[in-house]
Amino acid sequence: MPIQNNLSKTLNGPWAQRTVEKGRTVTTQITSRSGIQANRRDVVKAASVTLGAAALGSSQIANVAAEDKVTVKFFLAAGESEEAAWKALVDGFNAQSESINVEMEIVYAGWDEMYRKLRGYMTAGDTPQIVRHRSTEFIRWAESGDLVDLKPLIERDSLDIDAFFPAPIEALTLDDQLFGLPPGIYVAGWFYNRGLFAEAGIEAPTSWEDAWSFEELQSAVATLTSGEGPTKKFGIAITSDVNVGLHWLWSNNADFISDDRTESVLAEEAAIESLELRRALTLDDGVAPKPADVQTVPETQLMSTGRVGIFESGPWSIPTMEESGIDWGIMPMAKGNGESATPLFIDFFGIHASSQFQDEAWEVLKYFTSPEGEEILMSHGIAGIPARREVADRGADEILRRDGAVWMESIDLARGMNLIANYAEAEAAFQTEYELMMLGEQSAEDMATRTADQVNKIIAE
Amino acid sequence: MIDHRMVSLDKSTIKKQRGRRKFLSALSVHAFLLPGAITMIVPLLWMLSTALKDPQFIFAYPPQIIPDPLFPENFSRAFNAMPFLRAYGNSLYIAVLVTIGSLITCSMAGYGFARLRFRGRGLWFGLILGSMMIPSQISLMPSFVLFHRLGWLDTHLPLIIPPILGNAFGVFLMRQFMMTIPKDLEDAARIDGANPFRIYYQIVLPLLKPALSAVGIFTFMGSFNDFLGPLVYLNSPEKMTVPVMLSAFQGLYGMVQWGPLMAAATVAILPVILVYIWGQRYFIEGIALTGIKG
Repeated sequence: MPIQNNLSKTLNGPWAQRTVEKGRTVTTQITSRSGIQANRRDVVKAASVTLGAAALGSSQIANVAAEDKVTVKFFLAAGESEEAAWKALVDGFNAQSESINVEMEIVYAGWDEMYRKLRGYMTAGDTPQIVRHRSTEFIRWAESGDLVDLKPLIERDSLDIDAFFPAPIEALTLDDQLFGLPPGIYVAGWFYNRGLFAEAGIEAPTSWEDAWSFEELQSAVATLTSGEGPTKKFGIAITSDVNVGLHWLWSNNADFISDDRTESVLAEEAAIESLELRRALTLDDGVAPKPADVQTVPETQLMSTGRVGIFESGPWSIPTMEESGIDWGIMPMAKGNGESATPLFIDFFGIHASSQFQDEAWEVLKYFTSPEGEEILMSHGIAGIPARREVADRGADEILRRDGAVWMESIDLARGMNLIANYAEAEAAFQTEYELMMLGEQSAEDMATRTADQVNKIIAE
Repeated sequence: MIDHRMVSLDKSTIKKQRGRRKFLSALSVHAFLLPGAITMIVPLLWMLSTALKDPQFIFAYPPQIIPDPLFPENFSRAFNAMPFLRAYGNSLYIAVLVTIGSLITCSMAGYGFARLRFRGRGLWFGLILGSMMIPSQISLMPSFVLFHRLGWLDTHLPLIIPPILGNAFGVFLMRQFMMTIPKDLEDAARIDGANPFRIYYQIVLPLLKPALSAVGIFTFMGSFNDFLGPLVYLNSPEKMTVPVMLSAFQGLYGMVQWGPLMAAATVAILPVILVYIWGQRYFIEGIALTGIKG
């Protein structure tokens, strides 16, 4: 239950928490780690308990800034190229808020390091309020009860959730609870080298309805492949990333993990057929570089230097493609016996249940995912396609640069992954077996069976 | 009668043979060392070359050894994109403080373990050595919580105080080196009335140059290159150190900015190289005398 109190200033300190009346009202909801919410008297009691606990070394750092504003921490992993965009978003909020100050903490090195540090904060009882989570981590955090269900807050504030594309909202929903909001949408697509296509006399399809079949793909990439040795030009660079490559399975009526998330279905015939195609294109036909080759020269660089016709990636590669100077375009991905599909990657904002000041965090989150917030991210060219349809319609062409229609059309075909709590282990198992297959050390069937066995064990654990 | 011409001929032949043998010996040594030297130096040269290349030529084939055209913009991009100079200053001052502090504490502790007799000396030394067996990753989270409670997060204290007070490797190296110093010098000083601190300070410490140099170089390199500590304990960009800044050029989705990354890395390794060049003579002597091999 939210409470109205005159909490205005809390002096920070690792050992104590103290509130000072300043005559200004802020709405504050205090929720304990076990989810119990408190009234004002309880707050006083809690403060006393905190003081006592502090003597024993247990502390909750108060998140109230010295300038009478409640401080909400926004915690994320990002590279240098993204930093300005996130800072602009935070500055945008801070400029218009009189009662809340957002403090951003970026972990530069990557997701693993971010989660390591997040667990440290949680252990220390100083959980950041808003965290940008990795898409594949959704189930782990949603199932653990660490994230706040946003549905009651959305209903309370009459937020128009239909303004968002339905796919990302569905991807962040579990058991009718919504555990996050999307800053944007990433999908996978195929970048192609227009120059190489023109030289080979090949025309790329421009709509998902006209997507190539696997057979048409085989023929086209064979035509695109030329030369030998270090200067060889490949028809396609096939990703070894299990997630970006999910479309190979989905469009052939197969999957990595079953819809009910209880087992791996990679050993089914349709999945093996799809894996065998990738193996054959790489090892038998020689139209795709082997995973070992792309470790020396990454796929992005092969594409940037004009040595590959098709490159599997997502909108995150657009800045690199623009810098490379090649004439690139976007085409729909080929499909097997099923319907076209593309994986959906939603690195989402979640509010942590063990953090303080969740009402304030919700206010921040509303701004971050508002049209204004999305415009800021879009103007800096990050977070992919805006998650709000109206913002995407207005500015997608600018952010997507070329063939925006192919990306936009793909949102309706996009699917969330069937995630499990320890999905990272399943990804690693796939990766290892896939690379062995591409080294010619096992067949597609063996690869699929061995991966499925390992993933089933991971699920059972 | 001795044929002097024969003698002088023999002498010159022997001289020539010796010279040839010396030359062959040097040649075989260099032939053995050369592949190692090339293996070490090529990545450094490649880093420098990449730092000066236009992004579109970084992965070009055939590879460009000497960049054409030169692209120094990578350096300005690296320095302008992040508070890199600030990070450089932070790394330097942390590494210098940790090095000086470690040299003081390690030499004192090493002297104590090598020369002073006290109860539990072996046990304490064993415990110190045992702390080297615990991977730092294991103690990272408990340390994080501890520093959080001390209010040390987002300060440089966790990067300075623990390494100064807990450099087990340095203590071990100092102790081993001191064991090789004859006790007679100290006995003479003791007869002249010097107390243990004075013996340590005026007699032992000046003899420790090789060990101090080895510990200094190891400590400086370890502190300057530390990645995990600053990453976990620091939050503010203006407090970050060089290794964390370097990681920022690597995006989340494999989109690495190779040019600025290599430019920043080129500048980042300069202090370590300079410290090594400055102390390498003592360093090798110190390592050799303490019987430690890298």
